[in-house]
Amino acid sequence: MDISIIGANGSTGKHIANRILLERILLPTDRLQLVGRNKGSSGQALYGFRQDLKDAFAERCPIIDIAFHPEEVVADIIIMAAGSTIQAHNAPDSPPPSRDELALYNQQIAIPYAEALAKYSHGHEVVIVVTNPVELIVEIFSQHYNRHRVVGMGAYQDSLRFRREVARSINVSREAVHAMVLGEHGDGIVPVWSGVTIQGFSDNETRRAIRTVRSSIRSTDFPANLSLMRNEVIKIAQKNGMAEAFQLFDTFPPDIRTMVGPFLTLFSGTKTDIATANATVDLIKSMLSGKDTVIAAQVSLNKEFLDVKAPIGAPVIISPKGWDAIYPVSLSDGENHLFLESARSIQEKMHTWKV
Amino acid sequence: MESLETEAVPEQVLVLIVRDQPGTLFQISAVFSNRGISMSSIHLHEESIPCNGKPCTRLVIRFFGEDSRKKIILRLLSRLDCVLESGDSG
Repeated sequence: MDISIIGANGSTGKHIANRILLERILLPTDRLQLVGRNKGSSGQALYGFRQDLKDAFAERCPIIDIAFHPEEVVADIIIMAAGSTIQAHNAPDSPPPSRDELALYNQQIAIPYAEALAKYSHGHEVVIVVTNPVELIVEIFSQHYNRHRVVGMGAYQDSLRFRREVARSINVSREAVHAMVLGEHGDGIVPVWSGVTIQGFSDNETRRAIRTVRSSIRSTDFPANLSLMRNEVIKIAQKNGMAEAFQLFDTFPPDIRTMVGPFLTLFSGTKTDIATANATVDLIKSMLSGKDTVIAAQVSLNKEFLDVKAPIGAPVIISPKGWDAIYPVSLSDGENHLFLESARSIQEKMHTWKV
Repeated sequence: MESLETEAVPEQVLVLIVRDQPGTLFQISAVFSNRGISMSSIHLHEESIPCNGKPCTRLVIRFFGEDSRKKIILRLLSRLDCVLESGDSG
């Protein structure tokens, strides 16, 4: 098996490459393709990165190939991690790029790769999209290639975070919590409280535990609560520093922490690349396990779930071939409303971004 | 009873110019074996071809598979450092 990382010179791309080799996902006869831009120091650095990986993993290192052009990308799994990231918003004099600016920039990077995939693919590749806005990039690839073979990371990573935060509040391990986050990878996330199950808890115990930890009884109150608490933590971060901001963050409910956590991480001046890389490699391992697995991921829906036609985080069954089908989950009325609102918002953005 | 008869899979022929160095055949054969393809014949020309001063040789590989398999195999082989030129017979 061969894996290609587009954007291998970025921090997330590098962490993904490192984790792939660390977890021995590739055999020494397999190939890891590092794809970067052949401009300036960035392209040259890829050769050094390859040497570093060879030094680190020596005998069990797969063949490492370097490519600079979209038409050179060839692999069984293609990880799209190229593009700009949402910058830390801690410099008051220089505003961070807006989501629209980020979208336009990353769209221009993604299109040539999607076009090359359409032209040269043999139809069996799976594309895992890490680049944000993940819905936009998923849609670009889905327009050029079999949409069932394009999977976005956003909802998968949000679900891992949500499970961890719920587990933390209830004081069990993350493995014991089964939960999903659907919708947009951003403010339009939909924490699916109605589907949370905790290993060892009866339905009644689960309901009681959730009632005590969630941010609001009604899902429809979630966006307002999120906005309120995020503004509160920003004020504390600006006034008293990150230590106090994280102390306040620890008191938030798990659904709010799921969203505010990565935001606060970026705000502190660091990135979320390690968690993203780990989640990406986790997803690859699930796909390659040969078992049908249910996950939440961004896919381009064509009315398969709640009649939505948009790229959005949805419950899907994944296999080595990509996503086969939607997993039927029933949402509460509030979650249903949030999901449809999220879909409407994504459709508007797609229209704005001319996709 | 459901018929298991299928159409015959065509034979494909690939011609490669490869570096004459240890490990070349191993890397090339791994591209096939990792994808469940069995090579039906490998023909290595004895005469060496000089390529930029380094010894190279011509390798002809035959296998049975669809055209799409040949296409992807060729693309994968072309990414190996030891493969200098790759093409098919027709």
